[in-house]
Amino acid sequence: MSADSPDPTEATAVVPALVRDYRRLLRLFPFAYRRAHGAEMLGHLLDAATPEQSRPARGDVVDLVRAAAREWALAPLGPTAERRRRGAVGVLVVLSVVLGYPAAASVGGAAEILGQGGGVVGVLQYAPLAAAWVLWAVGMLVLAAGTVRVAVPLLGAAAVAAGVLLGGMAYAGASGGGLYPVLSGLGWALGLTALAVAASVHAGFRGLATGADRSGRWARAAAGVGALLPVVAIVRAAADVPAWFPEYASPVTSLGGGPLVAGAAVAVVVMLASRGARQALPVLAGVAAAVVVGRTGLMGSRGLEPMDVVDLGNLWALLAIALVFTAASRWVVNRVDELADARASLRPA
Amino acid sequence: MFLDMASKPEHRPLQEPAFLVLSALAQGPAHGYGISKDVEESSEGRVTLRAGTLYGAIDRLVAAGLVEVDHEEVVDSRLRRYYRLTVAGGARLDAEARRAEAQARQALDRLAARRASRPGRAVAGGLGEVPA
Repeated sequence: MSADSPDPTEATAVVPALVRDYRRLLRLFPFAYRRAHGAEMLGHLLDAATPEQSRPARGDVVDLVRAAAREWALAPLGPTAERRRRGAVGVLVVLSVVLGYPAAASVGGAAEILGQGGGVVGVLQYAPLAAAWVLWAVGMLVLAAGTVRVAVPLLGAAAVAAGVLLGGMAYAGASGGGLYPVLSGLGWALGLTALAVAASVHAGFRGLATGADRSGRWARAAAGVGALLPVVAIVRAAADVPAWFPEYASPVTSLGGGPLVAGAAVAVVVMLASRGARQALPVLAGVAAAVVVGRTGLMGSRGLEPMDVVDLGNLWALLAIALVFTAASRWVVNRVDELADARASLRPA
Repeated sequence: MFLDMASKPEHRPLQEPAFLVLSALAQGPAHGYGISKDVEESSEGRVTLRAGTLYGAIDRLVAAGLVEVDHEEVVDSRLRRYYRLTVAGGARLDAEARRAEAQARQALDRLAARRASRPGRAVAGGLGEVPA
């Protein structure tokens, strides 16, 4: 709530404990949201309170906690609904294309294994996230066809499937296997989750659109490109063409440090310069951090060798690193937005 | 047909809370609590928009350009921010209301035709006698 907000305790017939409790509940919201709506929400809640009411209504408590959780979940996309709309499209476009690579590697590998009679066990061993990528590819095809509301649950199911498969792999790793496949897959699972959330936000705004939906066209085109890669990989595997993607190939290991860092730096600068594109940066930074760090030796892995030392704390550490990158990038983007707003307000009308 | 419907924004119906918020603002600028009271009354208590849900919905409507802030005032030391429909919001509400009206009229016409074709019988499907 802003410092110059009115003091609701001056209002008549309001129990001070009620004001205190509502203020505490409103503190659950992110700062930017409280700054925008805290004062009016408190006024609304007190207006709606019955005389002599001393505690928040149960329904209000549930509603506020749920709304606060939603705001925190969407905070990486931006502090306001307008910025989230732009951020969701950016995440959708970039991740649709980027995730096509691991999807093709995994699905193509699974098709080859099945073609060679490796069976489901072989797929789970060598392409463990293949089921999640198949769901993702179907979701992308549906999204490319323009039916966003059907694509959202499919993409959500892909993210959940990736989480469940990684959980199973972590459990197997903790009981004697290696954790490297889990660490290297966690970044992609975060990417799937971010894509599903972005698609959901995008679908919500499409329902309110009043004119031509240009952002939807971009999202559909990117989804088409993303879906094409695993489809081609399956076709090549079915035609018995040699593997398209080398085993364990990844953008990180195949490109090396220099070109990747330079390319990422250019992409960040270009995106920061665009008011719409920069809203997607924090989410993309978090996913990129998880993908890159999960594949380095930083988390205790020994290159591409299976890990002997089992430490599930590494997974939490990797998630924390992704979160820190997201939060730090969001802070930077918010400051750039404030600067742009200040410049715009000084411009002559 | 399916793809065509999916790609045209004007064919996507508004969700009920968004429709009711726009409908509340059609009477003129209103603050959050006023909107929530109006929604509850106009839906005969069926829809309750509590503060957390309401301001999220208002934010999305503002971002979509259907609603904008009108003015602010302080009453009993409580901030009240008034919102109003934009031109686009009014047009969208008008289109949505006409579509709902056309659908309701079509349904009533069909039920009337059904009654006329089967005089003296209750309408199947548990509707019973539908008032004219």
